[in-house]
Amino acid sequence: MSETNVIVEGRSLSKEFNGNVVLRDVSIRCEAGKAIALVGENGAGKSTLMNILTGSLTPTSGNVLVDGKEVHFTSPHQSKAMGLAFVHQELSLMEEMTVGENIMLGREPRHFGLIDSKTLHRQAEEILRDIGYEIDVHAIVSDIAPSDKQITEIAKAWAGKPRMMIFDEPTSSLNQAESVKLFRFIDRIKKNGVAVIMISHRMDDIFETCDTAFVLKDGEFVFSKPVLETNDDELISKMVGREFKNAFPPRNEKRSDEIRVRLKDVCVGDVVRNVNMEVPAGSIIGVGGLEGQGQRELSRALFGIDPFTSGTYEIEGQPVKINSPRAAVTNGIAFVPDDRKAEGLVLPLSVEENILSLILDRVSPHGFVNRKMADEEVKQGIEQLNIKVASPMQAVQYLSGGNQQKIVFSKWIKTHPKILYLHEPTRGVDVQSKLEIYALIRRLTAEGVSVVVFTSDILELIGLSDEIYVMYEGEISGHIAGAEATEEKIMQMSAKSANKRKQEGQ
Amino acid sequence: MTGSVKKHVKQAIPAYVILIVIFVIMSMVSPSFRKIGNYRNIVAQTAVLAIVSIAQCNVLLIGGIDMSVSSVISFGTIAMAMFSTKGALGLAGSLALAIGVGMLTGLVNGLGVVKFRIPAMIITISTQAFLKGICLVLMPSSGGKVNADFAAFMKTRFGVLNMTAIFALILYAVFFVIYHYTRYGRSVYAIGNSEVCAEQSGIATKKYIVLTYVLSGAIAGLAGVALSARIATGNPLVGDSYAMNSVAAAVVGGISMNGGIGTVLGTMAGSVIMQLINNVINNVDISPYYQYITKGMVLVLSLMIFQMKRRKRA
Repeated sequence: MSETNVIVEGRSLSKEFNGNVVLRDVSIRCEAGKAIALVGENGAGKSTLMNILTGSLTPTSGNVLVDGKEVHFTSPHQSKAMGLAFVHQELSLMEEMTVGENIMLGREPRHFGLIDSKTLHRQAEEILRDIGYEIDVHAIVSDIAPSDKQITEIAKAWAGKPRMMIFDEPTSSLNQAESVKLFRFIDRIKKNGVAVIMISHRMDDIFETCDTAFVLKDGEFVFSKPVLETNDDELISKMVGREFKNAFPPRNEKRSDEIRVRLKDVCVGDVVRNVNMEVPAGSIIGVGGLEGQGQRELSRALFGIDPFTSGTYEIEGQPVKINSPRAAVTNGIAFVPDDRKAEGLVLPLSVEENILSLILDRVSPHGFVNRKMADEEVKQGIEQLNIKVASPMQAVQYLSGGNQQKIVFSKWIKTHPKILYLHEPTRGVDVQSKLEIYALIRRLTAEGVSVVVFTSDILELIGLSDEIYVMYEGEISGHIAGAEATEEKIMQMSAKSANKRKQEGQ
Repeated sequence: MTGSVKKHVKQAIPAYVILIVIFVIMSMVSPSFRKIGNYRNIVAQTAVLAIVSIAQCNVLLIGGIDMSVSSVISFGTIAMAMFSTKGALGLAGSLALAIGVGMLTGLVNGLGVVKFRIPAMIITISTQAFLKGICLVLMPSSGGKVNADFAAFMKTRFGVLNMTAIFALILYAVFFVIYHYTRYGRSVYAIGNSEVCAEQSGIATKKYIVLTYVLSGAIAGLAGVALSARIATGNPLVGDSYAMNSVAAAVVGGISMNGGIGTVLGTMAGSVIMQLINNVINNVDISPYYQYITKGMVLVLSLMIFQMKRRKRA
């Protein structure tokens, strides 16, 4: 066999979204029979890179080569046809179909043109057995456990006999025994010449199955080494270690004794489990962790969108039931959602209409909008946040991300909240606006507002927060003072606690 | 029966239970209901709705809706009234015209949904209005004559059934097989479940969506032809009630408005239920306007029950 049996290669791949560089000049070679561990923080560019290789995204510059020939994928099923399979973390299964029908979707065995259901389910069973699992192939997907769904997803990818398989956090919903089976399967397909890429935050997974570690940071390649020559501390240190700039305003000197919000054993289904948290008056509490560990659900429950299923939620010592955003607003709560375009703003409406949307009662003392009061409120909002607009009548959809986000903030600050929940407050925001938003948040705490920031940006988490909670699989896996936090410590709380707990449990 | 077919067929059971209950109660309380002539009548009246409802069921399954079926049906009767008496060629031509215009309408609907991302409700109401205009230009009021031999053939009796009903039953059998035992059918359910997931699974979603609208138009055209045999003339407004009634028939029969759930078997029961509501109201001598109120209520209730079940599952 020749020394270079490269199945897929990315050469100097870059990707920009609206001038925002998310991937810069990254090259990767996936060889037959080798497994690459792709690691990096949230937003390091891992998903972007994988989506480019499999055709969900087209690169701004650079080339993708399959078998040494340049390809220009425009959709995922072209890459699938060339034998590249992507096992997504967000599953792509048909909930109303059986396990077997999902595995065989698009390659159903037929008899005189009609689908032979018996053979179909038998073949699906064989594929599952081939990868080492047994699931009832006749079960409807909506009825099965998350781990079985993950396995079905893997089987579905494997049914196409791919030459390269990409796994995105495959073990996050598997228990240890199931994970071990997956590792054995990966070992076997490697022996058969399949190329593997695995995205994982679990160091165990990486050392168990992969040959090379490939580290991305802020969209750039930083480090690659055979796993045998490295260890998890080295990998973590390569993933993190960005410089702290003087971006963050100084922290509060002392913690207030007044607890504004107290959570006791709150749950949201089984996505948020027994969370305990205290938010002192005038403090910024950061909630971090890997993406999808229950932060979104917790933030939505705090604002009453999908309320808590159990536990107590206290505001200023009084238990409250916040069952709707309206109830939240009545209780002095404001919420800046992560998806401002869908949830934070009415895009086609003007700057003025957006800023005033929550205080229409205040500026309409007799049922009609009082022009003078409205103009004053809008002018004050624009100046306070330094929003760059040509006119208050401009539609917000044409403004930059930073200006849009400031409008969301302005709209909420106008309600004079006591409690401010922020979800990814600076996502897609330019640096200058980021700094202004940080300063604004800190200024608000000086006026006694309590802030909880949900963020996947570790720098922001550490730089901004007085105290930090880290979530893992719906639970709080760590609690640390902002002044003592380092990126390494947070990463360890986010990723390694899982391994530790798994070992203790079994 | 294996796999998801079983689950889909289960969705149809409530419709059959309701159907049997209405039938038994009416047969007990109303002497005029239980006459064989009335049963024949119900079958004859239901046949056309049953055919259109297949079309509606198709598009609902992919998560769309087709309000243009009403004008396609009206156009079908007009095509038959204008040309079907002009010899064998005229009959064949009018059949082809009815179905062809249906397919063309479906093509515009499908491309509107897929290429221009127009909501299905909007594009199909627009094509409905356009085609209704054409019908009114061609035939401002009811008129013309449908080939008498053809009409007589479609009315040939077999017990309580007639030829149109048998034709409808065959269509149901064919579509049951298509939906549950072909790749096309599997893809339709997959698209209805989640278009994004279907695309990621390598299904040519756009092609299948357009195809489904075209198929829907063709079936609606057939329904128009079948209706022309009953009314013997062309009528630019006769199809109007079928858009809403076919949606109701499909939904009562267990097809989800969100796509991907239900079976054409349930739609069959649903269309009989919708027709029975008319018949029952005629039989107990209430103002026919109450038909609308009753049908509206049935539709609203079924939709509510459906959404409630969905929310519980989520």
